[in-house]
Amino acid sequence: MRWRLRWRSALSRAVVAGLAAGAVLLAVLIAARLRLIDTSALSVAALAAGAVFALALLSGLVRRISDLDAAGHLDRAAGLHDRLGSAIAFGAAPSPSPMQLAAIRDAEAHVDRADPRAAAPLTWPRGGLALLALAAALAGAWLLVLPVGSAEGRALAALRLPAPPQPERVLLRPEDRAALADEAARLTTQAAAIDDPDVKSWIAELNELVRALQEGRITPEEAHAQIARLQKAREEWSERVGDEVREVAEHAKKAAESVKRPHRETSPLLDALRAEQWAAAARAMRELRERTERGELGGKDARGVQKDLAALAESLKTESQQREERLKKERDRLKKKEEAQKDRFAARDRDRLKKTERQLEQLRRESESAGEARRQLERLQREMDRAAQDLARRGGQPQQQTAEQMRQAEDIMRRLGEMTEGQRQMRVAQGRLVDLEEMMRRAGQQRGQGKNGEGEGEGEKGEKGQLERFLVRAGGQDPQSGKNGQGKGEGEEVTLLMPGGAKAGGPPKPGGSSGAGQPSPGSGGGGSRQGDAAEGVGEGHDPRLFGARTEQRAAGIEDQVHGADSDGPSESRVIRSAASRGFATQSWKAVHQDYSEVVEHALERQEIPAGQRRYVRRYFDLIRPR
Amino acid sequence: MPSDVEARVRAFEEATSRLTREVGKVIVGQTEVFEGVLMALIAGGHALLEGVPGLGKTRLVRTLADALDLSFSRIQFTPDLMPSDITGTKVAIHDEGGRTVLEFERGPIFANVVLADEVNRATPRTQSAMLEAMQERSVTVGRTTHALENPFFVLATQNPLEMDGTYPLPEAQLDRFLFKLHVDFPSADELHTILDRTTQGHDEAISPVLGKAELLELRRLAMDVPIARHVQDFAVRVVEATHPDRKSAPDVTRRYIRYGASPRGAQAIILTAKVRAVLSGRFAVSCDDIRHVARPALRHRIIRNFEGEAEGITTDRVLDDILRATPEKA
Repeated sequence: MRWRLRWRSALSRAVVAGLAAGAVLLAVLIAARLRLIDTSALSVAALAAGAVFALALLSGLVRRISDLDAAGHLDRAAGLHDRLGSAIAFGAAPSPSPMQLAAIRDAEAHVDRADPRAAAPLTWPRGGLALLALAAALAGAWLLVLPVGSAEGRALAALRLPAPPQPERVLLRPEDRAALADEAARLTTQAAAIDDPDVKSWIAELNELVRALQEGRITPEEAHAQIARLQKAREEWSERVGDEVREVAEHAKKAAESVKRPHRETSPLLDALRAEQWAAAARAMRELRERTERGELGGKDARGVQKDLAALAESLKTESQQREERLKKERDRLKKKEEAQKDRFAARDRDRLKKTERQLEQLRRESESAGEARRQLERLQREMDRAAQDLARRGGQPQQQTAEQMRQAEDIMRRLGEMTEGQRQMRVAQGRLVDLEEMMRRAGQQRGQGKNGEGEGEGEKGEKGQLERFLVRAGGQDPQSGKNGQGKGEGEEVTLLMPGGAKAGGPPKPGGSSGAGQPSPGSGGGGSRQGDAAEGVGEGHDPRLFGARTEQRAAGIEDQVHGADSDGPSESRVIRSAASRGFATQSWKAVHQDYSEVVEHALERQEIPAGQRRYVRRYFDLIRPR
Repeated sequence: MPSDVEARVRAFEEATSRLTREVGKVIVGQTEVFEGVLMALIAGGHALLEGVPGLGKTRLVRTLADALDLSFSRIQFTPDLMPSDITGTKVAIHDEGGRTVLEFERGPIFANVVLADEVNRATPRTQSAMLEAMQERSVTVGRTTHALENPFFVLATQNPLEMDGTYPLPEAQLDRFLFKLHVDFPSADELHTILDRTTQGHDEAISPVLGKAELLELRRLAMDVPIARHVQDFAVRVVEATHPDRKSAPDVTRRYIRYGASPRGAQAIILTAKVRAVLSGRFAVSCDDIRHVARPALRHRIIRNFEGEAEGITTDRVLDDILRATPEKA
């Protein structure tokens, strides 16, 4: 019985393995016949296929068949309802129950019905016919096609090998590359001046990307991935620091403004806060601390400083701090009442106490989850308050502890300054990222045109072609067909109006007899002159008898001015911006960055609809001074 | 040489044959349903019969109760039925001294065989009282717990068509039924026999053929039937295959099932498979027994998902696919 089961298993496994190995062998054989690989590989593949087949057969023959497996086959074949299998299982039990013994006796009584031949018939395994068909195909391929020498096969194979695809690099326009070179240098300087390590490393990464793009050693996919990484890092940084850096500075400014008639020792600090200059405020605080440490503050001065610091600390309190104070007072009041009244403590007051504690807990959680800027502001307020209290306790005599609190406040201000500067730099750098995206978009367009065979190539040639196409379109000509869209005769002059007037008009082109259009309505006016051929009627006619829909001839008058000879060189001027005199008080280049920052801030505060943000950014990018 | 066990098994076969013959005097066909009821009765569980009106559900239970020498009560479930109508309540009576005392008046549930007719017509509160009694086999009124009689066997019926004004049993309560049996329309031959028997003016008298002690002995014997580990393993794999989150679950389960059968489902399979083995004169449970009892034991314990309900996939079809996809050998 076991051997029958093993043979069945061996044949079944051998067929599966034979089909797989045979398919591979057939593929190798075909490849060899097509001279894609060396014929020596064929014998290796044949040996491997034979080995796989033999191993599969062997694994089936040595397979372990348990008593329970064999009994299961016999039970199923003879309809014994698992009598034999159960009897074997019960027989292995250490102390079979009377019912189990009865089951074993029952199995013994039925064992005659078991038939190993019916339980494990040696039939043709499934897939056997497919294996035979595969073997026949292998034999046919082996016999019918003559092998070719290996050297030729290799040569042919080498010919057919496709060249490995080269990754496409970003090829920016020359002026973009030049702009990036300047940008890289600027970023290097900028990174050196920043204190915040995260911002510094972020700008260094951006700089590396800029250099890679400028040198053309990065693919578009890599560049986009790097830009996405930088965007994500920037968002994470902003989230950590919080969006309230500007609000924090404004809050400190208002707090400083609320201190009336400040003492001369604290004036520099308050002035710096009013100007929203954290770095200057930190310096002023350091000077105040140093004077305090050296004991240079007299009793009157110290009292003045204490009064100003206390007022500043009071005004610096954030809304949540004020609320927390109110809630703590309420909680303390209720607790005192509870202690005094004990059992008579009203249920309503108990509920109020619980509610107050819940609100305090919620405030604490909110404070923990707030951005770093807000947390630093609250810390600053506490340090200022402690310093003021300490000074008040000691009757205006500053001590070492006061100086330590001032040092803490100084560090906080420095950190706030770093964050403010970091956020400003991040905003500027965000603009650079948009620049990069725009440059890559233009490079992609340029590449697309080159691929379509429409562009003139890169650099000046490309620009020239672009300008020519624009002029053709502006003249009303269909760039595809090359015909005049407006039905104008070809003999007409092309004239550019230039300041100075000299040599402004081009020489008249020889008139073509194929011009079919009519002269423009204004062309017969004073000073206008037409080519010779335009005076007559051309052959044929414009198929668009009614003209193009966009024609606005009635609204414009075409004029031509010819400069006189020997009046000196012509002058040409292109006006690129609005007049710098008159209503404009500052250079556009100078204000662009400030405007961009305000726009970025407005975008972050979601004052611009989400769908329009990209257009706003793009507009400011397009007018960026380059 | 036949031992005591063989004799007990033969006695079991004889007793159940007697019962089958006696019930067969009245009930025509419905072999599978009767076999299911018998298995549930011997295994000590309760059965839910589901079928359209007029197929003989109530008659089957009545006949079975007549053939068993056991106390029987029938409860017709209606929307205004109260829990105390089933369990009983305390009533005020005058004792011998003329004083008024409260005495517990037992409800109809205090019987060996209880027919809960159209169980889905009662309100959930009443259903809940009934099903709790089924599970706990006791009734608590006030501070006193009253044990129900042993054997205690509930046969509930419900009509799947008229859903208006009914309160379908929730899945958690359905789980308390060992078997859910579908009563199908009889074949043409069976219908002829039914007509011949019921339209000629005389009824067959049913006499009790199985007593309480005998029934309890049958139950003890069935519980003694051993089950080999590999057979039990097959049952476990069948139950596991009803759970869509298991690796072994077939596609049909993943697609149409929300929750699979509980361990109580596996217990029901093993218990009833044991009864079936001994009913067939065998001394051990086979995989065929597991296959045979899996549908009535599990069909009310698996819950279809929205897709299954929307496509009208029955739990029987899912179980058929599961049984087809689950090999006997792991």
